[in-house]
Amino acid sequence: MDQTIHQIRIAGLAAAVPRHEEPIADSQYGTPEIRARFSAMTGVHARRLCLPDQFCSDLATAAANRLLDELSWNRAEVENLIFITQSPDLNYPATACLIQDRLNLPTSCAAFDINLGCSGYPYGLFIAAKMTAQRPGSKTLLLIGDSAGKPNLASELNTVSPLFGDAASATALEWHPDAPPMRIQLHTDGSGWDNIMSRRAGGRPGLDASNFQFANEDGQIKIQSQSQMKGEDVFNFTASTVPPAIHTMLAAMNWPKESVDAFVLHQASRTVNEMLRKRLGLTPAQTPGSLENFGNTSSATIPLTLVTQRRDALRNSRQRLILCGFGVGLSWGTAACEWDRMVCPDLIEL
Amino acid sequence: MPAIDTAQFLDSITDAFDLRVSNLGLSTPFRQLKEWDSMVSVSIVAAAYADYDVQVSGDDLLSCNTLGDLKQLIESRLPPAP
Repeated sequence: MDQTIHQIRIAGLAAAVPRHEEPIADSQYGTPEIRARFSAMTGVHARRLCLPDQFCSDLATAAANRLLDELSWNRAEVENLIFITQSPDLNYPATACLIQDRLNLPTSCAAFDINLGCSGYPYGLFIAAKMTAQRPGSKTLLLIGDSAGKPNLASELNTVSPLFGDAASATALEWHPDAPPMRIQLHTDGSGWDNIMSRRAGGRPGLDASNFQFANEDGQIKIQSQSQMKGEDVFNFTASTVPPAIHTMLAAMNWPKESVDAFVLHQASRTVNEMLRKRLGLTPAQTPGSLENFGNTSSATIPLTLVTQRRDALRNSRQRLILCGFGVGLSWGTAACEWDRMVCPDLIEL
Repeated sequence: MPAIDTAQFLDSITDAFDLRVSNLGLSTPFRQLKEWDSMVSVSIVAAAYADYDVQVSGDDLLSCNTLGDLKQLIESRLPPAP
């Protein structure tokens, strides 16, 4: 899929994380030696985790509320609410319905969830932009994020657990006659569906004792299907797909690498991101990141990196950006955009 | 079949083990070492790609018993010399 979006402006971007921070060195994971190796390899030194009564939808709602207030948007004019998450409150209804109510959005607002992970932000920008009507006043809210760190029970088997942190974000889109075009290219290779997956009861493949856990936590029984990741194959998938995807986009836009203010790539792990940076011939300054303090926050890594590393530039200048998400699916997408002076509140901590 | 430098290859594998092993040789059954874990496994895949431009999958690693097997597998996939 390769399309150019016209006359849709990104009016604002906000991100929210839980206040609770877990430094990896102080965590329950492995031994001190394993924790040190883990941080050196992944680049993750701390992550934010939802408390037991905190959920991804709370982070997304907080980000949306702050953004709506700072934009001074008339909430009655929000026509679409899209929530991209793999951490819904419930199997059903869609969490977007609950958030529509919590945000006091009108019943004329369309609201639904989308099940995508690390590739979600370029997908979300495309869908949100296409749903925003080509007329004055049309407004869309794109919420995206996961609490990928929260549900992991302590387990010797669970070798990937400290990689993931919790975060969510809100992006505000509106029609504007002078908005620069935004080009989006989206891809899928479902043959790698089992490279990163989480099973569900009654699903396929089924759950058995080896990937099923439960624990008693403060009187509450917690049951979890472990997420599974083939780290080696995910590395190879990323190496094969992401550099060509970015080169293709740069060529399509006729943008020299040097003309791009930032390449904001999904924050998978230091091993993966350093490989990509070197293969793309980019400097650390051109590839801002958020792994160190927040971990891999799934679909929230791109907006979280923008808010924490590029906030002043987004507020005060026109930024030429390449955004690239990749992972679970397997699915990947690239967006080439020029965003001009948006509302971008400081990182929200809940 | 093109060959890769054995000393350089063993250094690279030692790095993937975060220098916690020494005296690795081509006959070392690397997956049997007590220092072997999922982080080493991904580090070897990353090193093969960085050093030799060769992709090694998780299943490939499982098919190798010794470092000699792994070296041979990488050599069989070396890109043609420029």
